[in-house]
Amino acid sequence: MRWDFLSSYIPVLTDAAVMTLRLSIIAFLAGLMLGFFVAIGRMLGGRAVDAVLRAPVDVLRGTPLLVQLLAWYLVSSALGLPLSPFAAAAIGLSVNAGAFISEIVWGGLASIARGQREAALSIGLSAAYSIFAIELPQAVPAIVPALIGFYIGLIKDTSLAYILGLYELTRTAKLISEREFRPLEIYLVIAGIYFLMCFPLSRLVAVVDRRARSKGMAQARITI
Amino acid sequence: MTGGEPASARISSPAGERGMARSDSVSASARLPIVLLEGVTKEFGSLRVLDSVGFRVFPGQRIVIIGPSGSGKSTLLRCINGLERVTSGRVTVDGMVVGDRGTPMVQVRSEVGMVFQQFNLFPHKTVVENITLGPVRVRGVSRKEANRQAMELLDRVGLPEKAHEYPIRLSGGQQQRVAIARALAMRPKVMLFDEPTSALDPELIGEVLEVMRELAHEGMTMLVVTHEMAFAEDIADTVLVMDQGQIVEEGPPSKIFNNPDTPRARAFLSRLLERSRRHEKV
Repeated sequence: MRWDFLSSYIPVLTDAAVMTLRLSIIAFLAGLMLGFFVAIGRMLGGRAVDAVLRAPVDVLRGTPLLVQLLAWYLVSSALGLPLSPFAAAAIGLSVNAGAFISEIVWGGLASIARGQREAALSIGLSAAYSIFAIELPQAVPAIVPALIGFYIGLIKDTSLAYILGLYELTRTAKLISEREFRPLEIYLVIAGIYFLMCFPLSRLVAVVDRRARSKGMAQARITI
Repeated sequence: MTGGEPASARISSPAGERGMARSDSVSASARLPIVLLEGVTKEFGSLRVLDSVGFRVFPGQRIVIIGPSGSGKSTLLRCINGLERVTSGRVTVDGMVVGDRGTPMVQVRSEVGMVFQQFNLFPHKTVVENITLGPVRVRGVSRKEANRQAMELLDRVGLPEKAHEYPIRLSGGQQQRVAIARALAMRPKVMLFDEPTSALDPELIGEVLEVMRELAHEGMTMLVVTHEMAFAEDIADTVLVMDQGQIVEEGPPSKIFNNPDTPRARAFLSRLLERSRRHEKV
């Protein structure tokens, strides 16, 4: 293996890492908003709202993210409102994240005993107040580790944005390897960069989990 | 108290020998029912849990509901504060039709306190926060005033020193007493108790019953689902026996416990007596 070629690519790799982080953070924040909105809407809205919101969630969870990213790009062009590759990737990742995060939040809320809502209602509080002030705070210890775990996956999923021509880490690595004919080295390097982004977060999950457990608050494990 | 009220046809008058001795507010306010059920039917899918149940509760009355599990006792209570929607029939609380479009549920629920089998305290809030949440958020009481009232209530249930503890640090009996205080903080006109001692260890039951007994003596209108027969005999002015979603018998405890008319009530009571005798032997 030879590594000497790498030094000249440090600025390019830095830009690529920034692109990866940018996409993942945008998608995570937008996904959080969407996810909470959908989960709480499903909890509060009754059966009809639940059915309406669940259908797109099922589609988004049941189709490959790669296909979804392409679809945002191609369908927007076909409709005459073309999205830039970055916008298509950011929107595609965000909407997909929203679907998964809504399941995490919904699962956390569903793990809270029914009696909590009934007790809140019985003293005259509204269902919405009960969700925000009574149920969500209790669900946080179950939701937060699952959200961090999801974000770890999201960082790696941004690699799929290469299909839209975005120079995030994976596509950048491909480009460098084609120029230098050193695929093994460069892919090892970007694997290392992904790992450095994700590993601290997976340690954080363990810490958050342990703290919740020691307070007797970690209930159901949420799996999606 | 005149005997000619139509109400007393369905339910024995609260001014019976037991009721009269307890509280003089009973006879004064016994004219209008505070809770009225008319032909209440509740179905879960094809299962009929309540089968055209009707009865009245007058202010100051203490009604104990007994019956085998699955007979609809809990569902009956839950229909009164609108936690369950009735399939047909009508529930009226203090003149408001429960579940009606024009009736704000908040108002019904502020007038009906409920105590659950599993206490259902909010675990992330302290005892005093549990108690003040309703008055502050729903009744619009100032925090200072709500705290003062909460401390008064905690005195009444014998737990003033636990005000700033979290529920997890309390025993089951203490949690249930806090839950009673939380319900009382809304100053309800009626209190519903849904098997309040069934989840408790035997040695913790007494302290909860004691608080309830005191409430009864103060003249609170109460509907209690319980298996504690001695308690029922002590505080109830009327006992309802339920079976398969219907009220099969009702009357003063002395009558129901010693000489029930219907075979279904008799069968249930003899099973219950047998069980409590077995318990005494242990």
